[in-house]
Amino acid sequence: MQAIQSFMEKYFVPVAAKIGSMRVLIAVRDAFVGTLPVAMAGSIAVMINAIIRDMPGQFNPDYDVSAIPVLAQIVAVNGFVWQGTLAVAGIIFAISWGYNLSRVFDVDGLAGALVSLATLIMGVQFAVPDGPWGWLPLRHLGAMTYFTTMLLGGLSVAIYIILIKRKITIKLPDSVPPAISKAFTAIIPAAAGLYAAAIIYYIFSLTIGAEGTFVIDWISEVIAAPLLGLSQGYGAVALITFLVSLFWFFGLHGPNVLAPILEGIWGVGQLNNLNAFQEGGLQAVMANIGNPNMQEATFLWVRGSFDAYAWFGGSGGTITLILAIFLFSKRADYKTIAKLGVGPGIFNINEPVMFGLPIVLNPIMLIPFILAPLVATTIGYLATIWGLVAPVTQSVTWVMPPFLLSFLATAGDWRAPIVTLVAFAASFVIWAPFVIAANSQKEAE
Amino acid sequence: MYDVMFVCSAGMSTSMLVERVKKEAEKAGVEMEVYAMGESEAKKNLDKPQVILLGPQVRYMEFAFKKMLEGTDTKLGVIEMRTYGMMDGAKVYSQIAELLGL
Repeated sequence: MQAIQSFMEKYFVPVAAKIGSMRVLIAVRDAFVGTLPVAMAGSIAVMINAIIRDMPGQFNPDYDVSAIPVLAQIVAVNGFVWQGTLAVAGIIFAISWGYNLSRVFDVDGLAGALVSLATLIMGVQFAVPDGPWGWLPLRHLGAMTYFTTMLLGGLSVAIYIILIKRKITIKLPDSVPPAISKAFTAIIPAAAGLYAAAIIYYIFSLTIGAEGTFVIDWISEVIAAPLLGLSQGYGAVALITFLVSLFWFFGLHGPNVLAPILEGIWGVGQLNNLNAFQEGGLQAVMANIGNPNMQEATFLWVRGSFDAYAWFGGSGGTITLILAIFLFSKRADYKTIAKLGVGPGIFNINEPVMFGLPIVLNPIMLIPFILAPLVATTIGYLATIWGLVAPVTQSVTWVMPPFLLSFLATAGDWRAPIVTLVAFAASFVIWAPFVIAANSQKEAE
Repeated sequence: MYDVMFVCSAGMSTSMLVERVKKEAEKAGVEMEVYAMGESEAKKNLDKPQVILLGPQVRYMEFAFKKMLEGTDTKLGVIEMRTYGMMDGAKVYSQIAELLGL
């Protein structure tokens, strides 16, 4: 056992770690994390509306929130919050992406953020032929622009970063205050990056876009649509569940390392669900499943679905492991860890079990750690696809305790916690034999 | 006043360990500043701490840190995985004390 462990530590951990510490991937991850404060405010607004506007309608078809004082006003205020946050998620992401990409390469973040934002806005439809001029339509500012931002914004910010690093900048004497000289330093690199993006937009408009297609629409059709289509298949859902466990097994925070994929694909799908829900409740979400127009399409399996049905207590569904230890373990070391891990575990934080038991680099625990979430995901996936439960339409912070999480994430579908319970039970059944088997193992010193 | 830095990747549960080590230091009557930093932040702040402890998530960086710390008096250690998992503040504190020669 010790030999296997040191072998893996020597050959596999560094490879996994390399992937996890690639600067561009870190920038993508941090860009998504960076949008959180604003995105959460928008999610809360949509969720409050779900609770007071849409949920009572499940039980009373005559319910109309606009006739109820106070509640009607709260719904209106939430509309403003939504408009400034999730409705323009693309703007917020563009800023966060430019900032974080610049920061991982140690250059000024504000200028990078502005370059990225300007690059996005260049591609937005600005005028309607024979119609109004000077509007920015929401459909070009939503989550589907993430791909354009990562590609074209990535390019312009990369040019900005490279020129700064090469010192192709305007130099001012030392007597100039740093805030001013910093801004001057960025002038040439930022302009070069923006011109590069502008030329690409222009060439596109002469070629592929000659019929009036916009880059943002084209990218969502060519890149986002296939990826999101793939994300709805069982294979992709199972694969990412497997990979999250695998990274964790090597001691790396799986959902963190894979955030570019998890947030970039399933997260984008979730934002579309949220926006559809804000506009027309669950009905609007269900009506747009499979809509070929990516700006309006909604999805059955999204980022929060994993949290709702598979990763209760953290990746691996480890809260069920803790329960199994409390019930079956005779080992003092396991019980100590379980006691320590149950508190954070309720909030889906599982570092104590991961490193304490440990699960990390423990070949025996690898089996249930991969199998349990796979089975749990399958249960949640089938229940959602078969329509036994509403899809996830709300963003709920991942530290929300299990059951409550799936209830809120589905905008209060009472069947969701039942599906979670089934997945929970299956996960428990998979963990339990390994806990019992460990009883006969010699206790680690 | 001693300065001790923990290095981890995400820092979710490391802050829990930080609190426990602080308590141990208090118990021992040693003035000690303890804090956790992500790996990239840590690399920019190498001149401050006397002791740097790597969490088990980033123990593969031991070699890189050793190289960066060459020629300085900063002591480097790795927190053992189970000690980390158990959030064993006393054990980590004694590791720090040993590195500092207290």
